Amino acid sequence: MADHRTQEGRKHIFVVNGAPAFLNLMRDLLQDERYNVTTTNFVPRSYEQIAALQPDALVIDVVTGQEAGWDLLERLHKEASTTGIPVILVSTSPQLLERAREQADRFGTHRYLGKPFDLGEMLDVVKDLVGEA
Amino acid sequence: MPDSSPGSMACESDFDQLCHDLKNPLMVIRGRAQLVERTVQRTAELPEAERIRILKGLAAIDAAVVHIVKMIDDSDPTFLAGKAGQKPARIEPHSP
Repeated sequence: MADHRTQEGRKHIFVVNGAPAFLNLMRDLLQDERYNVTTTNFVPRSYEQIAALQPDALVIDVVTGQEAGWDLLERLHKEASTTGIPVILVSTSPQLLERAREQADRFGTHRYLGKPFDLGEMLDVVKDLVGEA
Repeated sequence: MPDSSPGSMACESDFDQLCHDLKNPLMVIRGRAQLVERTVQRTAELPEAERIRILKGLAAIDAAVVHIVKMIDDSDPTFLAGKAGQKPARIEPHSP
């Protein structure tokens, strides 16, 4: 289920993660910095939402043994309408992040943060990719 | 998705799952503490002594989370997942 709250003129960040507590944390952080935020905990249908909303950046969590996140990344990178959207990849697994980094050409990932990351790091990455809200 | 995806290349072990299950709530604990810290930093009405006390407490939470994550990352997978003779994991005490 997607939670889509926007205000015109602000940069828009779309967060994909299976855990509501993490989605709420990201929403509170990014809205506090005046970004528009959409969150979803249902990965399989998130491509359509992303393609329709055209956010300025994506935060996507990848989990060991779950392919849905990788399928989403590959599709986002392949499709012309979404290939230009910067992707911040987050994971509890440093190994997964390293392997994603090695295959960045395939998955179109731009930045990598290992959980539990410092929120300041996340904000630095977002601002570097899309600028201030 | 072909089998060469990072997800399928990774060792899908009990240990990976345990790490994931531990680090996700640690992310929430650390993140929520940092959000409170941001609020405290910009709340002008708070008495200075109280602000310092709260910030020290939040810094202790952050340090404790970082310590636990280091323990997880440094752990022997077979040891922590209980696969090597069921030897119990020894948790080192944390002193902030």
